[in-house]
Amino acid sequence: MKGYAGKFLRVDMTTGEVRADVLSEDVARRFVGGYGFVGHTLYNEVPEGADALSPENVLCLWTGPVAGTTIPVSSKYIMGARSPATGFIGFGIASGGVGSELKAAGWDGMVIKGKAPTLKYLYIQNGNVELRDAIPYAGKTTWETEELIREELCDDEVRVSSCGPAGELMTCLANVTNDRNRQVGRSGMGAVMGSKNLKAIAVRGTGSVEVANLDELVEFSRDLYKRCRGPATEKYRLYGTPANVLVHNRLGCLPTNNFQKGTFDHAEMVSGERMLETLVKKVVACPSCPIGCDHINVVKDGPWAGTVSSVDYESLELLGPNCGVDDLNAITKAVELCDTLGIDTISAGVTISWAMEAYEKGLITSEDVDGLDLRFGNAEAMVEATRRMCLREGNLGALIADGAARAAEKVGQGSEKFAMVNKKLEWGAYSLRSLQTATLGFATSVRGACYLRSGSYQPDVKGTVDRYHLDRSRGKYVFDGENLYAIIDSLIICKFTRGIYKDNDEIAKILRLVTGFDITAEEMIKTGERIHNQAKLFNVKFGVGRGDDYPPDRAFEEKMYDDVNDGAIIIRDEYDEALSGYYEERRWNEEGIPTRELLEDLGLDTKLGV
Amino acid sequence: MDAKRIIVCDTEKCAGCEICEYICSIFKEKTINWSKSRIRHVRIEPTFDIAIACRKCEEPLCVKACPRDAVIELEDGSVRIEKDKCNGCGWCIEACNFGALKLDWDHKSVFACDFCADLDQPKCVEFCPYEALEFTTLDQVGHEAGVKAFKRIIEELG
Amino acid sequence: MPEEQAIKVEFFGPFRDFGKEAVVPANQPVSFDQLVAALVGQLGEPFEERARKSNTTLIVNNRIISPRRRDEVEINPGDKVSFALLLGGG
Repeated sequence: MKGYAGKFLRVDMTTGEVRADVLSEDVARRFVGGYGFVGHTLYNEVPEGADALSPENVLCLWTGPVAGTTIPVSSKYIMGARSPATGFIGFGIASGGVGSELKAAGWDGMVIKGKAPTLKYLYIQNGNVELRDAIPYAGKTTWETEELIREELCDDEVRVSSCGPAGELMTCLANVTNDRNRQVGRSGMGAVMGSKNLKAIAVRGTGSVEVANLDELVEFSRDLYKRCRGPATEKYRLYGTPANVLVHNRLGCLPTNNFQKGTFDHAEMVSGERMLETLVKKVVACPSCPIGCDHINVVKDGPWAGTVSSVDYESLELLGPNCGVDDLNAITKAVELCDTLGIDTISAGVTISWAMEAYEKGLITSEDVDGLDLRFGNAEAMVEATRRMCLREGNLGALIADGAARAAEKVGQGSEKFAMVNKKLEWGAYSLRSLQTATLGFATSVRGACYLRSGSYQPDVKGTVDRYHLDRSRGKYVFDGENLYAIIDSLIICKFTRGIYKDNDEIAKILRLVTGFDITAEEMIKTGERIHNQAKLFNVKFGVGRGDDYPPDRAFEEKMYDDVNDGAIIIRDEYDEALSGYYEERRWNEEGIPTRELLEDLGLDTKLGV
Repeated sequence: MDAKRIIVCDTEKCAGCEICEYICSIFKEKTINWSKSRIRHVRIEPTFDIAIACRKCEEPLCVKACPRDAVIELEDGSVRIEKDKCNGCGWCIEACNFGALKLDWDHKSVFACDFCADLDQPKCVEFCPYEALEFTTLDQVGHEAGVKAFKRIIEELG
Repeated sequence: MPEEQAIKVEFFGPFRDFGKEAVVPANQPVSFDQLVAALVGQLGEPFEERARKSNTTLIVNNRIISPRRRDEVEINPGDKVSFALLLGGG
């Protein structure tokens, strides 16, 4: 096979055994790579009922066939496991250099089971693979871990993915960091690493990456690089995604004060424009990326002077306006804490905003929050709350470390109503009531509360639909988005390049040039449908039902009033119709379970079909 | 005397994408293998990026260091390594101030940038998406810096 | 002038090279072309090219007008128009 290394690692943390396994061409053709392989591995290998933080859970890391090639922004990898946050399929895609390095080392991925007796890290150096002692790195931040492992191995070119102290503590929201600024952010993969006593994965590869048609691939890449410097990517290059702040504010879909409102009075102070003017030192790129979207903030003054972190829209928005905070320095600090100590910024922001609302409503006391004045707008309190959450420190840390849903369960008193979660995972920075197609995509997402599987905000922000209402036809947008994005997440290429491709056939061309597989655009989309349904089957195996595909109650029960919105709300009947319409489009039943007929058509296991 | 042209990297533009490394290995080795790239990206955290290749030093230390006279300086100032003479001792790598020489793990021979002498132009320069790389002379670099500074003064004076 | 006889314009992202806001007098509905022409008069020729780029997105009051539908839009006196880039991502 071309493109693929053709083999992957099987690691048993309990026994320390590491062995090679073959990647079959059949699996490669049917599931492409990345996200497709994660669904396939987890569905087949995670035992029914296995606890997410037990040795029985399976942690896998996969690349796609394009990793290590010249296709723009192809150095990505995905980590997946049963999520400790949701109990359903968990995974996250990160860029940086790990994906391409692993391919150069001669591996497509790894499947990790068991639990080591003491803290270890996995070191892959081409064909030499071993588990090494990581006890000296216990409690170290992700940045320290990368530096120290490079020192130990005497190799600054080693790429390192690690969990922070939060992962070692098995916090449900723990993330994984590589190359400092890139994260496998959501769904708690860092906690799964910690539960296996796996502190880090270090990779160094010096082999060649074989593709089917190198000459044509290089010429195609040359053209794609030019397109990556054009209008389709301008926003990412100049401002990065923080450019969304003022625009979302203008549209009334900037979550503010725990999603109570959609506009923020101080939006200018935390805008992408302001950030570029006052904080951005440089914009850097991941390996193989001609766009360069990573805006690196350096705080110059104030209590957090010297802080360095890469700040994206969602992190900024949810730790900022969503917490009522208008201080970019404080936000930069909170992001740095999350990246180094190791929790997801999105879950952090939305959990802290929950705590702020609970505190302001008197549902939690000063003692519960360790005496912090945890009110909306208090930047110092937001930063300190972030730190405590990462380290499970104090009463506050113990309360909120595992996210808003679990904290609300503990506190009760109606606080569950404003835990902004779906499938117990915190909602992203897209307002529910004023971007309703987005909401449908977020709530039906297999991972929970996220648009990354569907891009479902697009019809709303492109003005194609009425963003304040839903109807039965809306599901088609989510369906189409999910099938295409399943391919993007399996190849794995960066979603910021989606605008450079003229049509799906150009994306299929990538696969043809790299692997030599003769695939049409239609076959590719059908493959995407298969990949999506495989991930869905994992959730079915673990008990997902229609009730898990709803947004939080605030969306239905509270009208939103702010500078733009005059009583925006989701009408439950409309949502139900739209959800049923989505299931129908998907050929699932009214509970959202795939039909046997569909599964046969896609060549998937029919055992759980209806 | 023809002024020596080297590959100069604008550190303000360089984003650390390493596409130069991919491209170099493709054109020089006919395969994707950035460990065999002649040009090397260096990042000093958090925000300094540069890509470096051979500087065509006036008195190349690599040439002096080689105990087997395997490193030859050509007329244009670049160096070539004679594979039959090289035994991979690596003295030249230690001698170079810029990390411009590398050891090929497979052939146990050292290599350095030849400025794509066999091709139309240095390929890394051609492909760099950020236009951070230039194949130029040091005189020209100095001249352009002066022009850039002066332009800024003119703008600020209105 | 009375608010109803003008169009309030707001700039985001790279459009801020031209300032944060502008006011365009209008006593009848205008098209995208007419609005751009009026703004070029105030802000100079470079605005023309920037406004007509394929990724320029308009927000009229709180309705989004994607680049493809710019030519169909009708902007009324009293409206607020924002110039921004294509949206999305996080």
